[in-house]
Formats: sequence, structure tokens, C-alpha cells
Amino acid sequence: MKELRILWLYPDILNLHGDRGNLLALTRLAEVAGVRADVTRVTRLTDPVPLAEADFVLVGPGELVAMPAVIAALERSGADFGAYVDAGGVMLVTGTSAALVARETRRQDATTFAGLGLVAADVVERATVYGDDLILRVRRTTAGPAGPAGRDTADSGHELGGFQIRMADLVLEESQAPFADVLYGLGNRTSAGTGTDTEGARRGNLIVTNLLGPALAKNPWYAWDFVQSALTRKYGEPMAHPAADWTLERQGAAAIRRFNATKATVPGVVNRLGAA
Amino acid sequence: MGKVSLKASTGFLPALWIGKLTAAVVGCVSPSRGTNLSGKVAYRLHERLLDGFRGIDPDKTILITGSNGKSTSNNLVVHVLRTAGFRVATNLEGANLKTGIATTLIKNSTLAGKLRADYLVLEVDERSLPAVQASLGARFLAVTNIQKDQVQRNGDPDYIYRKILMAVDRGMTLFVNNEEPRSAALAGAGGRAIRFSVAELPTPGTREWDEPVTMACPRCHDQLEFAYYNLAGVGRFACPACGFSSADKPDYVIDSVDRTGKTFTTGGRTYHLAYDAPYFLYDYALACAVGTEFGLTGDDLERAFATFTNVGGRVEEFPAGGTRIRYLRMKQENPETLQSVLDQIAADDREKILLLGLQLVQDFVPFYSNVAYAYDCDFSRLAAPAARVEAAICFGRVNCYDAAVRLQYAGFPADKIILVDTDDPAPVLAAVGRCHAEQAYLVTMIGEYEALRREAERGEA
Repeated sequence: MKELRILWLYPDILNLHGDRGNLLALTRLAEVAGVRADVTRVTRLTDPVPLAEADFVLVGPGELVAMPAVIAALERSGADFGAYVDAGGVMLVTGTSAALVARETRRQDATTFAGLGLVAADVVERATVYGDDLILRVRRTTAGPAGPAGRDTADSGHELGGFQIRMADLVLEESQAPFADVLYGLGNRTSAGTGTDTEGARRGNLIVTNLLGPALAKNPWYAWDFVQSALTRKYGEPMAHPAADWTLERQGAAAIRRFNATKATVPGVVNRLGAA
Repeated sequence: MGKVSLKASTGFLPALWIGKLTAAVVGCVSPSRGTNLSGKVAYRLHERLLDGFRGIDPDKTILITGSNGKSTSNNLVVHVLRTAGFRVATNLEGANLKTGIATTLIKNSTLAGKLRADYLVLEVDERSLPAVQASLGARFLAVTNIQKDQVQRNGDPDYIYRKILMAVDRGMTLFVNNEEPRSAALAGAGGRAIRFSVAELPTPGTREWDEPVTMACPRCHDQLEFAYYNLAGVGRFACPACGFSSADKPDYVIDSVDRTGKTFTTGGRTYHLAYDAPYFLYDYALACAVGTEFGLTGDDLERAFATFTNVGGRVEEFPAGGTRIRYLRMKQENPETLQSVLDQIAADDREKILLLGLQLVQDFVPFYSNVAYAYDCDFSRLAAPAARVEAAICFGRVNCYDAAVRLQYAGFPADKIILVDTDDPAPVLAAVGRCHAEQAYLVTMIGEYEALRREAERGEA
């Protein structure tokens, strides 16, 4: 039986928005596909990080105040996330935990801390929180290494729905590929503080996004692409599409899309749902 | 006390008088709007209105804040003091922003702005706390808990923790929840900390849900461990990394609860317990602590608890055909309140219908569809056959599908989930009518409850 080994980083510490749902989505998909899901939780900041054994790394959003301690723990662990990502390793980082993988985070009190630098981006804490729905279209890209089966990234071309609680903005370097185009919601910011119509960042199969929901539970087709990428990397051949019924999820996505297409929004928020 | 700067006093009296006039007019025309309006009008005329009131004794002023339970705690503390014969100025109606507090002071002051009360007891919104405290200079602050709540506004609990910290100084006495880590972490910030507590309660059932998570230690941010939970996120805790933990000997502890006899015991005395849901127990513990610290006796507390009725209580019931629908109020984006109602439903062994309306979040623009907080809650006990849930009716024009997905992840069979993708209450009640269970539990926001109740009453008439 094939096995999907999921490394769940600090689920108690990085635990803001029902992120357990992402793990439930992955394990259910694996079950439907006839794959054994093996979940390793790294709970304490002194625990080892068995990255070499991971097929998928899941990182949920946490309080910004906790990020320096988590970054220090990851650095102490000796886990080489850069090598993991460069080798096509699959990793999903959501919400404020972008601070873990960015180069630097600047807080409102002007203090800064360095991240792991896995993506060429900075994080800037916002003066006020912004919460809203977020609907994305995942970008096709040829950036990053090709996967074992010729797939270059976790997936491309999907429309994904969820929401965002933006405590901080992601500011990409010019060289850094975004994850998606925004159909509805608040995108990344430029270093000058202006909005963009792109969202998140990607490096190979590392996806950094503000899409919450939990994103994988709301978009199982997206979760499946992650599972597929991870298993293809591991076993060298793609899995057959699982016989799963995603009717409810598709109805939910359609209802949220309809709702956002016409609702009152605030300045700076992208809304291309009418045109998309 | 009572030192009023020239800047604060200039223009204060005209604003106060217009506020009083507004309060009088609103009281005659539309009493339900009277909790905020006069304060709002007066604030427009004088932006430092709260600074202008006189006769506020910091030693007899307590602010009650926190994510959950501040209204009930406020009601209990006020009732305890009033039953003991004191005059208390308060915002019992829950208007807890600056304008609501201003309205309370306008209504409870003389034409010269002097407070007419022995005690000032105020429920204060966490975000408004620093500004309110800067004006009032209360010597006492009670923090019920600091939990996930209104993430669209607050982002994360640390944001609220920092807000509350801004209002604390070394001259203050803090009442903190010994089993809620963030509240307990504030203990060292004030001059004195009084810890209120509830001993381990019999759990409503074994919680063995998929992938449980705890939280980060508010001191060192490592993983916090809980020995048990009395409520979601509330229980005896310890951080193995830095040693931060619940105090072994808190100052005020509810030692035991008799739900059949409707009593609780603390400090060797037994008191009447009107509301026995676990979250109420922490409110009672806080009221005991505040009452005792303000000099009341056990007899005073006993008289007060024997007659306590909560303002706008959370439990309501109404008939719909052959079904009795019991409403259990929840707050959106607040997993702890949702978990509390799920636990109450699971504790009922009768056959039942679950009516779940996780509606759009519509606190302010932009409205949005967040139901992620449901993934922080354990629905699995309701999905088990022993819970005897005949059907789960998920309603609401946008979020009913996401609610159904959440239930499926908890193990609800698809054939027990009924979707009603509308905000119209009539089809929801029609779906109830097609079920057989005589008891239904309604879990949604108050607006949806009121609409359903009105519709049911039309049907009964």
C-alpha cells in the first residue's frame, strides 16, 4: 500500500483558523485513493523535525508574536527546507506563517525578525486586520524544478475559494513567482504599499498563501493535486483520480462566488468575478 | 480621583446636558435605542467626554472585559452589589464601547457630571479598554478569558492580550481566570492578581476527536499542555518549556457543583446555581471573588445568588408543530461558544434534530463567509449514534454547504444532512416538520433565531 507521510509543524502553536481541517482533508483524500496517510506532529519547539521522511509539510497560521520562537526552533532542528523544496518537496504554508518562510518580517512596532528565506519576499504587519473572502486562480508557471512526472508545481489553473484574515502583507521581490491571480479579495502588496492582483508565493512545490477556509477542506481538488504531487514525487507515477464526491464543496464554492460577485467591497479589493 | 483637566472640562457640560436630553427623548420614543445614542451624540460634541465625569472612585470601579462571559459576569457582579444595598451604575444592556459607557455615565450622573452611585461596574469591549481605562482610572479589572473571537476585527488572541495589557498598570488589582492561559498570563502585569477558578468538572463525554490541538504558551510560545478541560481552551494547564501554569492554590475556587440540586460550593459554603452550563460557573466564581474583595459576606452572596436572573439569557425555546426548538446562542468566529453549545446538545440523550445556521459574518463591510471556526470544534460526539441526532439541517443561502462539509468530516452520514440553501425561515421549519424528533436544537445567530421564532409563531397562530 502506498503511503503519504505528512509532517504537521507545530499544530498547537500554529493554530488560528481551524487549520485541523486541512489535515482532515488530506487524510480523507488519501483514504479514498487507497493510500495510507501517516501523520507526524512536531509539537514542541525542541522536538526533532524529521523532514527527510516527509512527503508533505503542512504549516498553519499562527500568532506573529510566536514566529521568532518557531523560526529559531526550525533553525535549531537542522532541517534543510531549502534542499527539500529544491528537490520538489511539497509544502503548504498558510496565513501569517508566511513569516516563517519569508526573508524578513517587519512588525508595527518597527521591530524585525528574519525568516528562513525560502521565498524572495518580505512580510509587513498591517496596522489593521483585513478579513474577507478570497477567490484565486492558481497560476500556470514553469518556474522551479520539474517534478518526477513532468509536473512543475502542485497544480495549475484551478479556481480556489476561501477567506483571508490578513494580519500582514506579503511583498514579493520581482524575481519571486506569485502563487495565484486574485479573482476576488486583497492581493499581495508592493514595497511601496500599493495593492497587486496577485496572491501568495510559490517556489517549486512550496506554496505560500493567505487562503484559509480551511483551504484544502473547501477545495478538495486542490488538496488532491498536492497529494498527487507528493505521491508522484515519491513513487514516480501519478495516482488515478479518487472516486470522491465533491458535490457539496462545488456547491459551496459556487454559492460563495455568487455572493462575492455582487457584494459591497472596500477600496483596493480586486473583484474580477464578473469577468472571470 | 476626580481631577479634571481644563481641556477635558471645556465643553463637557453642554455635551453632558445634550446627552441627558437625548437620553430622555430616546427613553420616551424608542427605549431599545437608549443604550448608545445619548453617548454617541455627546461624544460628537466633546471627544474627551469620559474624562469630564467627576466623583468616580477608582477603588469602587471595576471594568470587566474578555472574549466570552463578560456580560453575564457583569450582570452577576452588579446583582451581588445591588442585593447588598449598594447603588451601582452599569451598562447591563451590553453596550460596551465608549459610547455605551458614556451613555451609562450620562444617565447616572448629576447635571454637573458627578456620578450618582456607590460602585461603577462596567462591561468593556477589549479593544475599547485602553481608552476607557485612561479616562476612568479604575483600580479593578476583571478578565474573563482571552480567546479566538471576531477574527475579522481582532486577527488573533495576542492582539487582544496586548490591548488589555495597555490598560494595566502596577496600581491595579486584576481578577484573572486561573484556567484560561492568556487571562492568567496577565497576572503579573498589575499590582495584585486574584485568581478565580473552577475545579475539574465531570466532562460531558470523552473527547477523542481527530487531531486535537491545544495552543501556544502566551509566555514562551511553545506548546501548552492541558491536564483537563472545563471548557474549550479552559482547564488546568502547564507549559513544560517555561513552567507557566495554572496556580496550584487559586484565590477563589468553585469546588463542586450539584446540577440536580442546582447548587455550587466555594469556600465551604453552598450557593444556589441558577445556570449550570460550565461557562456560567466561571462567571459565578468571578462574582464570588469580586463580591468578597469588595467586602461582602457569604450571606450577602447567598441572598444575591438565590435571586439572580440573567439579563437576556442565552436559553430560549419555542414550539414548531410537534417539535420544541431550543435556541442555543453562539457567537460567530468564536469556537469556544460554539463548542459549549455542542457539548450541551451532546449531553441530552433524547432523539433530536440539529439546526445549524453558520451564517455569513456581517459585523461590518466586507461581509464574508468564514466558517473555519467550526473546524476548531468537535462535532464528532453529535455524529455518533449515541447522540441520537435524527437529522442535521444546515441552513443559510451561502454557508449551508460548508457547514454540511464540516459535519461530514465529523462523521455525519450524508443521508442525515438536510440542506436548506436560503435565509427564509419557512423552508427551515418545513424541514423540521418532516422529521420525527420532538426536540430540536437551533445553533445560529440571534437574528436568525428571532426570524425562525416569528415564523413559528405565525404558524402556531
